[in-house]
Formats: sequence, structure tokens, C-alpha cells
Amino acid sequence: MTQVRHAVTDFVWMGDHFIPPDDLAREVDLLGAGDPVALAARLWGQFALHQTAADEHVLLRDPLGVNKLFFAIDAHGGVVSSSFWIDLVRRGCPASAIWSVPSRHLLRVAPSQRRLQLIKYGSLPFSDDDQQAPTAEDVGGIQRALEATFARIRTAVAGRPLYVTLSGGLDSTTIAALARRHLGELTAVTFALADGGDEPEDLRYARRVAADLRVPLRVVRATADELIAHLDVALCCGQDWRDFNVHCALVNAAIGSAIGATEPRPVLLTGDVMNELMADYAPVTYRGHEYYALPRIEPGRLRRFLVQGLDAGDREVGVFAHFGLDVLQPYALCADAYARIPRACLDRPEAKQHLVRAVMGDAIPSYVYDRRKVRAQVGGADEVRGTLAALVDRGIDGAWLERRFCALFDVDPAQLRSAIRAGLYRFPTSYPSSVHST
Amino acid sequence: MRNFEADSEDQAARDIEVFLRERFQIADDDTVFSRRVNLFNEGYVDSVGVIEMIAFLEDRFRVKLPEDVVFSADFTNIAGIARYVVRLRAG
Repeated sequence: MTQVRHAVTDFVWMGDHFIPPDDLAREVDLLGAGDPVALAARLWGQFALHQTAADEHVLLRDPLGVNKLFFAIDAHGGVVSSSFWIDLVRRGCPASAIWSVPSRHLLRVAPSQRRLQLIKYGSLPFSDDDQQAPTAEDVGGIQRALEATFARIRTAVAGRPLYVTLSGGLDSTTIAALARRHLGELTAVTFALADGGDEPEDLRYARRVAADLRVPLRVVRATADELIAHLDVALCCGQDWRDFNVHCALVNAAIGSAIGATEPRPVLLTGDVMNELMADYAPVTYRGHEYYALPRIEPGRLRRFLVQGLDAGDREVGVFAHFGLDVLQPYALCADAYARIPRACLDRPEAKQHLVRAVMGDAIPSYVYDRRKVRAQVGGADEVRGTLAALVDRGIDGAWLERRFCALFDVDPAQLRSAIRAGLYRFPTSYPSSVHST
Repeated sequence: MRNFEADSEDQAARDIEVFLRERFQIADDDTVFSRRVNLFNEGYVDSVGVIEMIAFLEDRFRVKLPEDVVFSADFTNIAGIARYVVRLRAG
């Protein structure tokens, strides 16, 4: 049996046991398992696996879709897969023949029999309770999940340079504080647009938090032009054209480029995914136009769709992988515990502040709890700056990004509109009629 | 929100059409728009809009739509969506 190795590192645990990537084929034998779905349900982490034997292929994607998994079937029954959609485009696969394996799914393909089976191996335990505040049990569950997550991460990253992306907001400060406690030496890294203006609010807070946590802070600065030079990487490796993901991917490209690949391979921990789990997003208005539009439904209900939407877009893992860095998203690894927060809690003002205060207490400096929420791509609470303004001022809006993506991925606009729907990459539910002929 | 009794696909389609026209500001004289037009390919519903449409369908027809519905062949036009939700309601 062979394991198809992808460019993005798989982090897989079975229980507390971390399975190094080189041992995955032996320790996670999905084709040899009597019940591969039961085996998949026992795995934990962020991964996109493709195992094959003879004519049978099994492809498996992690519960939140942190790692991406694209595939195409050729006319001779070969199945090619990659972490990157663009890899398949560059191999000559037409857009109509490229598919994704959805998050939390196992896909079995036997091309000689024209058989394809897509199986969901679990679901997040979203609570629809009307309770207005998380219970002590909810809070304790999150605390235990965070502790267990960092204990598991420790086994996987020993001896590797560690970074934490830090904006000085609640999400990244929580991760930095826990990483400092559980993982020891690390460097915080933050981004600032070098536009010649006042120091951005994010940077001021990041400096203060880093000093309080006693971790060194590396400030990555780039001009707007330097940032825009990363646009093709942001689109190709971020695997999305929608502005909210492209803007994040650009900042991450600048950070990844500045840190660079080293041996051993560095690991970045980030606070991503928390905003999805708490439905803590809002659109931003700039020059009379609304950006980062959201479905108009209440946060408690929106959460399920935002988390589902993590399936599409690769603003962190894919972009940093391009620069030779691995990413771990601790909140994604604790998603079950956060999903148990009653839906009605999320509809309260400052829901996240209340929850984090209950979970982290004094481990987070009080000024972080008091800070108004700032979207990282915007840079400050009082005026729109940052990546959003830098791009829009140069005419790089949503339509521009869509056109550039179409050109890079050799896809027409109508096909593109069918490529991501409700936050999910296009996936097959039966054997595809369109295969790739080269 | 009124109680909906979906005794026909046509009634369901009418409700879905009203929702889409209101929410996505589709003009009455839009000659491309119809109950058979591909809502996604023609740009009437985008990645965000489809979530609002799912939320509407779940409320109005009191059904829980599975995740994979968004890529099913039925789920591209009003007639297909109406057929799908009526079938789902019928169990």
C-alpha cells in the first residue's frame, strides 16, 4: 500500500499518540481496516490523506477541513490528489474534473467499477439550547479541551522553532498565553503595514501582550506594494478569491516570507477558527461599500454555516506551507468543546469576551478583554486601514480578485461560481461523469 | 413567520421565488430569471446568499437540509429546490 504524500503536513493523533507523517501509512491503514469509517472517527488532528491499493482509493479529510484535499480521476482510472487545487490545474486537469473531499468525510473510489462512495464519519455537537450563558460544564469542557490540545501539540512539535501569530486580540492572546505555558520557548509574530502613518492599534496591543507574556515579538512590516506582490501566492495557495480570505492570506504570505523555511521546519500556532466558532464577525464599510458580507441570520444560527465554511479557503495552512512552515490551529482542534456552547449564548453582546473570561480568567491581561474588536485586515477600531484599504485604494476589489483567480486557475466565471457553495468546495456524491483525459 | 403547508411543489416554488426576488432584488422585468434558471451560474445567488436561502428553506418548510444538498442537481433552480423540499417534508 502506498501513501500519497502531499505538500501540506498532516498532524494526526490517535488518542494522545501522535503519528509522525512517515508512519501514517502503517499506523492508519484505511484500506486494510475492517471498518475504515470507525478508524477515521478515532483520528484527531488536521489531515488530508490519500491511500491506495490496486484499484481502490481512500481519501480522508480532517473534521474541520483545515487541510485541503482535491482530486481528479483520469480516463485510465488513475486518481491524482493534492493539497492544492492549482497542482491539479498545472497537471492539465480541467476545472470540471477537479473535486474536493469535504471536511469530516471519507471518500472511497474504485475507478474500474466506476464506484464512488462519500461517507461522513462524524458531526460537530452544536448545541441549539436557549440557555443564555455557558454552564460551568461548558466552560470546564473548553478548559479541558485546550489543555489536552496543547499537551498533544507538545508531542508533535518538540525540537521545532515555534511561532505564535499575535494581534493582541482575545483569540491570539489566548493561544499565545497557553503556548507560553505549555510549550516553552516561542516567538510571537505580528504584521504591520508600513504605510508611514501612526503605529497600528494591533501592533501596540501585540507589543504590550508579548511583553506581559515575556515572549519576544517579531514585527513583520511590508508596504502595500510589497503586500500586493504576494497576491498570486495568496490566491493560488489560499485557494479562494473571496476578499475576506484573500486579505488574510496576503498578510500571512508576508509573515511566511519573512520567517522563511528553516531546518527543522518551523511551526506557527494561530488563533484562527475562533471567530467561526463564536460567529464573531461583522461586515466592514469602506468608502461607502460593504466588504466581508455575511449572511443575515442571527449569530447562534450563523455559527454552523461559518464553521462549515472553513471547508473552503486556505488562508493559513496553504499559504504558510508555500513558505515551508507548518500551521497548527488549536481552536480547530477543540471545536467539539466550543460547539457545545448553547446557541443562544452567541446572540448576546460580547459573547466571546464573557466566554474567554470564564475560560482563561487572569491568564489574559484585562486590557485585552476591554479592547474593542478589530478585524485583523482592518487594523484599527476607529478607522479602516490595513490590507482592506490598501487593496481597495489600488482598485483591487472583489471583481478584480475573481478575474485574477479565473486566469490563474484556468476557470471561467460560471464554473467558479459553482466551485464554492455555502462555504464548501465542490464535491461529488456519485462517480463523476467528467474525468481528466491527459 | 406564517405556517406553511406545502401541498404542492408549485406553492413551494412560489414562496421560494418571492423570497429570492425580495432578498436579492431581482427585478420583475428580468427576462433571464425564471424557475428553471441556474441561480448560481447566472449569479443570482452567491456563496453567502445560498446560506440565507438555506436558512429560509429550513424555516419556511420546517426541514433540516443536509450539507450535501448544495451540490445536488436539484438544488440549482427554483423548481428543483421546491421539488427537493417537498420531497424532504414528505419523508
